[in-house]
Amino acid sequence: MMEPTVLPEKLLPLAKRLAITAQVTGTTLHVCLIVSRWGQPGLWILFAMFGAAAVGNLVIATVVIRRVGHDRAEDARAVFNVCVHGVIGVVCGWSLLAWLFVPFVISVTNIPPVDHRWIRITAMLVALNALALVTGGHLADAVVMTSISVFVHVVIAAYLSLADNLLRESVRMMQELQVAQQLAIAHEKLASIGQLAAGVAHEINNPMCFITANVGDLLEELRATAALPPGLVEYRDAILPETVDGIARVNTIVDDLRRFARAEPEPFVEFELSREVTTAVRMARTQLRAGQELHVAPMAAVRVRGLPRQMGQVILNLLVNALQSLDDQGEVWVEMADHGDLVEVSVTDNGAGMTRETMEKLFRPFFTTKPPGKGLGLGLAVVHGIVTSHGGRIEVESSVGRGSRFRLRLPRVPGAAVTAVEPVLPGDALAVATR
Amino acid sequence: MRVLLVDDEPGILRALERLFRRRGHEVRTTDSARGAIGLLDEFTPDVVISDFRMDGMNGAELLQVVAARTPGARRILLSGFADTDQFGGAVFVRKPYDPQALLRLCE
Repeated sequence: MMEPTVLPEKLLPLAKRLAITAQVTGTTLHVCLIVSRWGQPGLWILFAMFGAAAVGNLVIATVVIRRVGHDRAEDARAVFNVCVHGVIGVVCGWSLLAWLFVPFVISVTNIPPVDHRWIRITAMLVALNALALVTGGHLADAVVMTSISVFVHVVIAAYLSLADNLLRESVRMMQELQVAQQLAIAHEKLASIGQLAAGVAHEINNPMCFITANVGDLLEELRATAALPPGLVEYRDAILPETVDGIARVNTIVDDLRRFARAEPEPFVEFELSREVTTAVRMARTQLRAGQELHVAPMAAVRVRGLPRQMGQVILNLLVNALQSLDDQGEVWVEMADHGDLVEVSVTDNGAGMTRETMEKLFRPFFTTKPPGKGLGLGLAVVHGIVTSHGGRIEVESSVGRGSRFRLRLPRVPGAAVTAVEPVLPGDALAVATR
Repeated sequence: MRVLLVDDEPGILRALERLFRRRGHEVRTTDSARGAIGLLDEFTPDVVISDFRMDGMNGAELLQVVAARTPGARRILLSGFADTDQFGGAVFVRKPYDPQALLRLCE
């Protein structure tokens, strides 16, 4: 994994404390070195190196870093410190105090996050040790100081990395908690809507029960009466049958509401997929605007296993989404194809299409491209859940400005008869070959 | 056939009564489980159709009493809530009921 090149904001105070401590320690080392060499030759060189180290590191940390970036500035700092401390070592004859600069410089520079730190550290150690060995330094000192340098650097880097990981983990957990809270709130809202729906459905159901019976009885009575007054004939032949149809529709809606609200468990059954597609298309047609068209290709009569009502909901959802993506002249095509083990239903539109980013998030709960209040972003997440629970798959391909195609693949019941099923409206048939 | 109908919704009770009377059955109606138990002293039904949710005793409890008092009576529980198909030997019919299916079940 690549090391991050920017410190997390909360680690900045720690980095600042480290920098201050490094300044104090460096100054102490320099002062001790000058005191220990007081009155000896080369003292002015030590003063010069002291000044150069302070000014040079400051310039690199403030000016150079802004001009050439973090990585190059660290390179410059490494070269500069090797030169300065090489000179100090040579002037001091590689005394213990001079050697102490090596672990100090190695441990306080190249603190993560910086790129290529081990290359730089190795280069610095090789350069300083080589210089020391050819200018009178002892091999044992070089080995000990190199070991201490690496050890101190590793300890500092490990603690910083640990702190960095803990911070990132806590940020991630906080974000997850926020998402979980939002989901819980949304779930609670849905549950409240469900309870309300169940209550309303039950209240409607009781009167609908005797309204259904009474209107049915009345129609039966009129049909059994031989000589009806002309005014009642229209009731017998048109008005009451229409009323009975209307009542049946209300009863279906109430039934759906109760099922939705109470989440009654239902057993999987075998059913003909084309029937559910046909019903969904019929319902979707009510949302067509003038100029828009919905085409349905002839469908194979293929049986699948599952919950027909849920599958109808899936198709309806895809159709409504497709219609909502259209402009005034847009078209939607529905096709069904039997692929042996699988049956495929595709819903294609030539509407707005989607970006790759939208497609990647499409089936996530609460992802929506609709304005606030126009949708919770649960439609396609529910679709995905239903299709998966039926052992199927759903795929999408899309191009911005050209439209989208959703492909729904479900395992079909083997050996079922394959016969042509008429599309919803014969005039809507597409010239698509189906088996 | 002797039919006992129990429902606290007068509209449903009337619709059911009409359905069975038209077929020539002898019908008694009441709007509570307590009323139904009282009627069992003077009326031995072949079929008891009861609503589930009623004040006081619910339909399932009533049909248990009916099973003990008149073991031969067919018991039908009528409700908008479908939790199970059977309530201790009683047949469950969901509201809104299909009149012809209900008649077939009883006759």
